[in-house]
Formats: sequence, structure tokens, C-alpha cells
Amino acid sequence: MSRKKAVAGGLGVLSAALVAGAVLTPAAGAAEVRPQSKATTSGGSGVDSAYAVSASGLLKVNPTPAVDDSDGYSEASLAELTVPTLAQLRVLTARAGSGQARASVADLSVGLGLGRPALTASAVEAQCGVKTSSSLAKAKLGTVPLDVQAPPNTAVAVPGLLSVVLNKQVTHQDGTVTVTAISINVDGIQKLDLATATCAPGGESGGPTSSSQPVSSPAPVGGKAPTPTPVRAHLDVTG
Amino acid sequence: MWINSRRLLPAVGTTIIALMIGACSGDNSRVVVPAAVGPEDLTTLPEADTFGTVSGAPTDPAPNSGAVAGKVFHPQAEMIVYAGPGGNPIAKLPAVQMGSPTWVPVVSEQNGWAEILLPTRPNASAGWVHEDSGGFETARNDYSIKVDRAAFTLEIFDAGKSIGKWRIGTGSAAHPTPAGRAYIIASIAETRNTYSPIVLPLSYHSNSLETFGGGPGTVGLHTWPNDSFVGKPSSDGCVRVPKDALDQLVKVPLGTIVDIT
Repeated sequence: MSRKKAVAGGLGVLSAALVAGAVLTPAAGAAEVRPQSKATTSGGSGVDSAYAVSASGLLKVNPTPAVDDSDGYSEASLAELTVPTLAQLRVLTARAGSGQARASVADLSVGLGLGRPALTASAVEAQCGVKTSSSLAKAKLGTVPLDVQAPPNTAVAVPGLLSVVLNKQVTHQDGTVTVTAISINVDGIQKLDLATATCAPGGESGGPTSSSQPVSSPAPVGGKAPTPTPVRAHLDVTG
Repeated sequence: MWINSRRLLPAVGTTIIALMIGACSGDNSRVVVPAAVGPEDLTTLPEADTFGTVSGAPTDPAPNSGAVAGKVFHPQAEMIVYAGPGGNPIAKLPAVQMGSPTWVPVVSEQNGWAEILLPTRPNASAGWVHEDSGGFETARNDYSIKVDRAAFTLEIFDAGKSIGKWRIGTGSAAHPTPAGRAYIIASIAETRNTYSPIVLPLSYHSNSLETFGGGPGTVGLHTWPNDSFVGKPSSDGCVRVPKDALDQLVKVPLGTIVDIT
């Protein structure tokens, strides 16, 4: 198949989805999607963030589920998410707070367009704060297995205009670092990120963090369990 | 090569003694090493936090043993949880639960392994951590809490002595507070919901609600803006307590057992 035809084929699949109403937001009842807040103050507020999946281009998927620590430690999960013609994902989780962030997806399958190999994995995760890293379990592009722990910004060689980057790590102007387990760009018209976490600098080395709340327990006195310190967080318990 | 026989003999002697002890007392002195867990397995393991679900976890060996005090365990970094000493890995226990440091109750110990209660679904999930690997601390916890749903009471005990008893509210008939041996997993200074300044989420989840709001149906202890809850089954699962009860509850250590009958 000529490259032009392959691209057109890919576009065809994606545009069909567009006709079907392709700007997707999470199903009602799914975890709340919060916009990514910019790192402005040094208060640790909103600096640590994570989301399990995000897509832009012909098919748009808002970061889902997405959390940040502007209201303290937050976590969210979604049992499954289907993006017609693009992806089927299970057990999407995201958590952020205490100078750390983590996102993961289990059992995923991503269709990259007509004639393109599908991306599958049994789990992908990305984390920062304690260490900046991501890993893939049983990930394959078609039949080609992908490394469990690829070095940062490992580009997978694929023919055509498909770009797949594993363990994508970007340092922003303000020093925050974003790590994404798998970052895909199809023909420049469809982007998809799986498992993304962003943290303020300094958390990794255990050095001074950007005033995010410390996690350490007060050392037990005489072996007695410590009195807890309430930590700013949000969790909907069953009322 | 000369062997320094004076150094060799004690080592050999010790080994012989160790083998003899092993032969006489059965499992208690046998070293059980953890199963190997590669990076792929590690990536696949579910997180042991309130949003997690673990499959293949053993059940709490004594869920009806009442409000007991005991040892609590805090991992300093994420630790693998196994189905049994030397058994398959089933989860990763993070060092943080909703912002609080992770403290879990220890319900059994054997051979350098500790059985802990997990904060995941399904309720009463337990698992084993390998103590000989290090990277954790333990402490003695004298506190325990008893919730009697039928009587609508909550009582705090310190070293077996009651230090307070209050009339509380529980889950409705449609969404009951689940019974069992739960524990306090974190101390949350709640930033969005306004019904209680501090919320103490438990390790148990609702059996009737898979999710609640943006959460996974976690049952918690907290207060309420008015007295409407007292002596009533009106919540969606949480145990609602008077403000002065909450003032005492926030002082008990994380990992304190909350025995719900």
C-alpha cells in the first residue's frame, strides 16, 4: 500500500469516528476531570498531577481520570473507557499529592488506523516524585514486544508517519517534569498519551521539595504508634 | 591453602545446631524467601490503596475477633504484598494512603513474614509482607474501636479500657455500614466536602455501592453538621459521630482496628 493510501486509510477510520461524534468526555458517573493547572506558586498546589489517558486531534479525549494536588492529595479511578475506533482501556487510575504523582492503565488495546499494528499491553504506569519512571507490562506493537523499562524518550522505529515514544520525559521551563509511559502520534493528526504524571522538581532526590506536604511519620516514641497528623486531601467517602 | 580451623569449627557447629533446631521445631525456623518479582510483574500488580481491588488475597484470618489492639506496620517505600510466606505476589503496598503515611495492622507473624490487613476491595483482604527484607517500621498500638450498629454506639478503648462511648449514626438499610474488622487508613483534612473538617477513611468499602461521588465507595468515620444522624441508619455507609467523638478519634493511630458488628 502506498504511503498516501495508508495515510488516507488511517484518516478514513478516524474521520468515520468523527462523524459519529468524536469529541469524547468520560461517561457520566466517571471520575471528575479537572483541567491541568499550571504550576504558578511554590505552594505545591496543583503542581503534582496525573492522568491515565489523553487524546487530541481528530478524536479528542480530555485527560481521564485527571487529578492534581491543588486541593491536597487526590486520587481517581475508572473501571474502563472505550474510545470507539481508537482505544479500549481498563482500570485507569491517577493520583497526585505529597510531592508524588502516578497514573496507570491496565489491559489496553489501541487501534492506530487501517493497516497499522495495534498497540496492546497488560499494564502501563508512569510515576514521579519518588523516582521519575514508567514501565510497560506485556506491551506489543503488533507482534513486536516493547521494552518493560525503556530509557527516557525511547523512540520505537515504525514505518510511515507513526511515532511512538516510550517513557517520554519532558522538563518544562518551570522545572516540573512530565513523564508519559507511551506517547503516540499518528500522521500528525491524532495524538494519544497513556499514563502521564507531572511533579515539581526536587522530589526525586529526596532533597527539599516545593513545600508539598511531607509524608514522613513522626518517629514512634518508645515504640508506641504515633498520633496522626491530618493531611490535606479529598476523598468522597460514603457519607 | 590452610583453613583456619578455629574459625571454621564454630561456623560448622552453628550450622549443625541450626539444622537440628530446624528438624525439631518444624516450620518456625525455616527461612522462606519471597517469590521473585520481575519488572513486568511489578507493573501489573494492583496498588494496595482504597481505590485498589486485589484478587487472590487471603481473607483476614480472624475477622470476628473483636476490637483488639496490636502491632502496626509502616512501609518506608512501596512494598510487595504476597498471598502467603513464599507465595505469589498479589499487590504493591505504597508508603502513602491518601496523603497519610501508610500504617496497617499486623494480624499474624511467621518466620520473618507479617500478615497485614489491606485497604483494598474486597473487604477483609489480607496479605503477607517479608519483614526480613527491611524497609519498614513497626509500633505498638494500644487503641481499638468498637462500633455496634444495632445499638448505634461507638466506643474507643485504650489498652482494653474504655475511654469514651458515643451514640452514632450508621448506614441505611439500602446502604448499610459493612460488618467486620476494618481499620483507619488515613487522617484527611477534607478540602472539598464540608460536612466534616476531618474524615477518617476505613479499610472497608460499601457492599452496595461500587463507587460514591468520585471515590470507590470507601466507608469512613466523620462528623455531621447537625444531630440528625444520632441513633439513625441514614448515611450511605459511613459511621457518623458527634464532634466530640471525632475530637478523640483523630488522636488514635492509623491502623487502629475498628470492629464493626
